[in-house]
Amino acid sequence: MLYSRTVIIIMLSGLFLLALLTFAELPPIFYDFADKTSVYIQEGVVDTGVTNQVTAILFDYRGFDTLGEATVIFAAALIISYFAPRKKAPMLGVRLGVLVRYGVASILPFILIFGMYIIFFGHISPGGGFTGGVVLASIVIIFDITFGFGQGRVHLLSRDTKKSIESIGLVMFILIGIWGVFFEGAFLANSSTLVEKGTLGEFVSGGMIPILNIASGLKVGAGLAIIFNNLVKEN
Amino acid sequence: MELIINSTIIILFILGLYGLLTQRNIIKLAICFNIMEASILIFFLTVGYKPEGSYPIIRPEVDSYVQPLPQALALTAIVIGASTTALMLAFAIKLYKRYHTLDIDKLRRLRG
Repeated sequence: MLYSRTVIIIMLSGLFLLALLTFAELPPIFYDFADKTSVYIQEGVVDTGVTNQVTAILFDYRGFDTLGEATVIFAAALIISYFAPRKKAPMLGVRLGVLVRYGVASILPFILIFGMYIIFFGHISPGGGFTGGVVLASIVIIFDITFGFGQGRVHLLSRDTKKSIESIGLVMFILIGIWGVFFEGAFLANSSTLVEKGTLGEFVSGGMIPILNIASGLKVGAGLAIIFNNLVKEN
Repeated sequence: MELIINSTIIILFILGLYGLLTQRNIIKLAICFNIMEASILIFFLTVGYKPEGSYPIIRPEVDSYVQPLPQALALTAIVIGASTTALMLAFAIKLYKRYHTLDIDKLRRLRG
């Protein structure tokens, strides 16, 4: 061991004091930033046409950032499938009991509706493509844990289906970005051309943002399901 | 109040760093990474917080909102954190299959 535990503790105590002094120099935590960054609150609704300002920032002001974020999940899924273990985990060879199987089968449709609701209403209520995508991925994960191992195993979606869903999500995202180049003059610009404008706060509003929500929901859901299936090695 | 929140952030971060420097098990290293990440997320949330503010969905009957920008950044950080954690666990599985240990001191071929 290069450094002993005592040396590490002394160094980290110094770091603690230093960080405390640095934090004291920051603006106070409950400082009202309203006069500097409230542009999102003041003008976000007029700019984007959606009421949920977190979604507005994710898919309109910083849409390119979100595309990069989706690419990070894609890269993680790619590397994990390259490093996939060759054999499946031994503890998952046991088949679960009848109570678990029927309970899971009856609860899955409700999880599906919940995930779809979060995705489709992401622009007017809390939620969005990423959170809804994670809920949808949990369906695949729960189904595969319950029914995917032991005798008579079935999988909800095959490996190729999941790959296609993820690719469809990414291609949809990029095509909407190129659409923005043609109709608004910038990549991923929120274009209301040829899309029903809708009224503020209703289900149909915000131009392309609900469609971007669906694209990222498909992408994140399929990506996380691929990551899980590669970690436990379904076949 | 402010001192308590600041200390929570710093102590969580330093606990994670301490674990990274002292632990030998790869799974525990991944857990320490996640503890450090949690402290950063708490910091993001406190930056945009206002005591009287509501959640940032614009409604006619509400005047004051918390800032949406730190929340959007925190969402990005959570997604990327989940990806990196999955990646770390995949590497841990791969290393265990090959060396039959998770102790980083015993992974001799990784030494310089």
